[in-house]
Formats: sequence, structure tokens, C-alpha cells
Amino acid sequence: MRTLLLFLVLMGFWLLLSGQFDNTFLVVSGIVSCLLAVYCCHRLNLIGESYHPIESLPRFLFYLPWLVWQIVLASLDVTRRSWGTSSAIQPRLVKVPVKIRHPLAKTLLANSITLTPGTVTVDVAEDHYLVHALTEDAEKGVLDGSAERRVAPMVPGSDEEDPDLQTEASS
Amino acid sequence: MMEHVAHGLMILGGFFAFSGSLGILRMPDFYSRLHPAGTADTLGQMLVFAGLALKVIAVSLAEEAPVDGLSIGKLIAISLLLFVTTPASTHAIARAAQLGGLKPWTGEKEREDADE
Amino acid sequence: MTSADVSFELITALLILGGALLALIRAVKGPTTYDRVLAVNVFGTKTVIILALLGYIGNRSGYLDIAVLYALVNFLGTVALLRFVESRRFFQ
Repeated sequence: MRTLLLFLVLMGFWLLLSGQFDNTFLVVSGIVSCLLAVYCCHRLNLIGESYHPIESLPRFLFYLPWLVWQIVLASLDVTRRSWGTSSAIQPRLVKVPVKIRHPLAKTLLANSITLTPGTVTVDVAEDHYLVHALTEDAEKGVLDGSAERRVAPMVPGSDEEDPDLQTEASS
Repeated sequence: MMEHVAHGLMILGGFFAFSGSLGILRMPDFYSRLHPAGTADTLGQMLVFAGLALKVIAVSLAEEAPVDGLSIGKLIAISLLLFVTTPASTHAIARAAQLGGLKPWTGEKEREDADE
Repeated sequence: MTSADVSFELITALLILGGALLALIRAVKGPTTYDRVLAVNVFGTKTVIILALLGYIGNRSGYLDIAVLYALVNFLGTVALLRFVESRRFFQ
């Protein structure tokens, strides 16, 4: 199932970049190279069990508008500070505790924190992030964990350990 | 009508990209320079590519030619690619600087180091 | 298509070119290496946008392929540069 999905995505990318639908040689070579890539991924154990693209993707589409709105707010904020004087900022480093453990959810959360106003993720550790905040308001906003509550339902089982690591440890 | 919206989006995106760079030039220390690089660039890029895609659609509708779906697909692909990689590279640079032992500038010393 | 039609893309491209120049100034001034890497990364992002705009102005769809490639290479280049900076620090 996952393998088929990977093949379809790769094939779509190939067709998008080549733009040739009627040249038989190019289409066939595209299919062959996509199959080769899928085979290599299979051999390298890159097709893990920890991602559920079919369940996560619709939830991600609901999450996207909120993220875009945050980006707009963040850009307006940063633009105002760029044209103003440098005394308008009081930067500080904040340690933010996080509960989610799933690698995909952690990556999404780190990216979301970077894109929300006034905060940039500096370091990701086991149970906390190091976040650089521009102002005190931004610090409060990231500490109340609203981003985490939005990211967590997107990935099923996001507060558990990485399933791939568990299977490796048990086998 | 659609063309005017496309033009507006493009100019707005250009403005955001420009002020992002201005922020990089004017911010006082390295960690605060990350903020314009991560956010303003992302928004500017998204607006410019949305404007371009809209413009392609508007022009082909005005000339009653078939819409060039391939170009629009490529524009969306570039936009998504930048949307994923810009925060990631910002984060990579920040982490490298933090491991390299760069200390953040915390403004005037009147604020005590309470949150360390 | 009139000349007024093209000028909006040109204005946007010039704005972004100005932004790229500002990033370049930061890359030259830079006090630390990380500032320079950040500035070069931003410069690369702006290059991608300018490439797409130029492709539209010149009506060459091939520029879009170059923009896709440049976006990928820019990210990889940044990461590779950071690895290099890190390893050089360890060997000294």
C-alpha cells in the first residue's frame, strides 16, 4: 500500500517535470526509474511503519489555513520590526517542554513554531525545544502550547515512541 | 480583474521579500536575524508564486487559449518545496550556531537573566 | 499583451533583486560565519523567485525547471556548508 503510494507520487513528479505524455520511450523510462527508486527504498528499509499518510493528509489540509494565517501574522510582525528601530525587540532563549514523541509530529511542530510570529526553534531535544523568542508576548504564546495542541491530533499515536525504533528494539 | 489581483499579490510578495532582507541587514544579532529569514521570505515566496499562477490562468483565459496546467503545477511544486525547506534550513543554521557556542544578544542589561 | 502588462513582473523582480542585494551586503559584512551562511541561503531563495519571474517575462517555461533544481541545490548547499563549517572547527 505504502509502496504503491510512493510509486504514484514519484510518477506524478516525473510527469510534472518532463511534461511528455505521448512520447512512449520517455513514459516507459519514467516508469522504470520510478520502479527502481521504489525498489531501492524497499532495500534500504526507508518505507517505515511510522507514517500514516492516508490519515494524516486530510488533517494536514485542515491545519494548513491556520498555519498560513500564522505566517501572515508573523511576516507583518517581522516587517514592522525590520522598518522600525532595533530597540523594539527584547530577544531571549526559552526552553519549551513538549509531550509529543513521534518524529513526524516533532518535525511539524518545530517548523510550525519557526513560522509563528516572533519565535524560531533553535534546538530539538528529547523532551523540550530551545526556542528563540523576540518579545515577551511571543514567549508567552509559545509556552501555552497552542501549536502543540493543533499538531498532536494530526499524527495518530503522536505521544508514543517512534514505532520504527520499537520494532527494531524488539526484533 | 483577475490580472489586477495577480499584480497586487506579486507586488505584495516582492515587498515582503524585500523587507525580509532589510530585516536581515538591520537586526542587531544573529538569532534575531533568523526571524525575517524564516517567515518574511516564506510569505513573500508564496505570494509571488500565487500571483504568477493566477496571472498565467488570467492571460490564457483572456486569450481563450487552453490553460497551461504544467507550468502551474511546477509553480506550486516550487512553492511547496520552498515552504518545506526554508524553515528547515533556518533551523539547521540556528542549531549549528547554537552548537558552535554563539550566545544570543539579550538587549539592555536592565533585564535580569531570570529566564535562563 | 502590452508593455504595461510586463512591467508588474519586472517591478517585482527588481524589488526582489534589491532584497537580494541587501542580503549580499549582510553576507559581506557578516560578523560570524553563520550570518554569512544565512545570508547566502536567503540570496538563493530570492534567486529562485527571480528565475520564475524571468521565465514568465521571457516566456520560457524551461526556466521553471531550473528554479526547481535551484531550490533543491540551495537547501543541500546550505546543509553541506554547515557540515563543512562544523568539521573544520573540530579539526583545528
